Amino acid sequence: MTNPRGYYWEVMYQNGLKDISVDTAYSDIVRDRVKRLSLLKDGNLIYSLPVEPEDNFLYRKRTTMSSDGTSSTCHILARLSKHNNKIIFAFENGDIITRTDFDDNDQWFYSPTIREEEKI
Amino acid sequence: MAATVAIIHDNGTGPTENDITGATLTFDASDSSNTTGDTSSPIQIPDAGSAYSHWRATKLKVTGGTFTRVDTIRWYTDGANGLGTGLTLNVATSSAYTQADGSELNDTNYSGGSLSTPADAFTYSDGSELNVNGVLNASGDTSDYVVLQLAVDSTASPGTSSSETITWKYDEV
Repeated sequence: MTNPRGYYWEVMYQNGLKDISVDTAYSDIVRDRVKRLSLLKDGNLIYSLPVEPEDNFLYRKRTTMSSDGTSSTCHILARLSKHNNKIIFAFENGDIITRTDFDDNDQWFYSPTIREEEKI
Repeated sequence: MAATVAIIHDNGTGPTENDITGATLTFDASDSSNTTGDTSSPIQIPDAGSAYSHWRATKLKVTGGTFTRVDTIRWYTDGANGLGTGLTLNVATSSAYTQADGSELNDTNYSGGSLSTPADAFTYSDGSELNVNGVLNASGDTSDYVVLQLAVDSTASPGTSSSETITWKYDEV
């Protein structure tokens, strides 16, 4: 089987089965059975985030588009917990920043709009 | 697996959608969507007060791809007006479209009731962006408009001004 091209998310369920964004809608993830949320590129793992049963999680692709034709992209993986957030900002230039919370005063680390199913 | 997103300039009565992604849009005294540097409709430098370009109603549009939602849309400049002396770029947002006619950008002239208060575009920079309403759930969906207008005062110099870079930022899942 050929690996998908480019960046994509993958969820691994508690039974070991996986869904990836190439063939599964984000809204179709069975969230209460997710054990791990990962970001991959061309089939290679970029980052993998464990998710405990009491946690929630989110994924976003954050993109800038400029009128001079340049763009940049950051992939956000977050484990949302009442006591132990872990938020990964994985930039496509290779930089990976780990934080424990969003910062609405920062140009990249501000909170996305949280979907209802992502709330804890 | 990702949304295809374009920056659009609407003009005309329809309006007509013009894809200006990666292009430099000219601000002049016409309701054109010129990205080639055409100088056939210059703005006359006033003896006093301000003269205005026709405003430019721009928006973000999803044109294809596979995605669930695009939201958290923001807009900003580099924070420094490099257009030149006597030139100000004003910006506001609106949920509605009004064709440009060369009048000053304000809530009376632009689709009364829907326009936010115009502000100097260069007050919005990376980390201090203009929030733009829009939840795009399907191909063809668009954000609210970001409406721009160049104001020219008597201290401006004749000729083509420098260009400025404008950036949109959005989240996608």
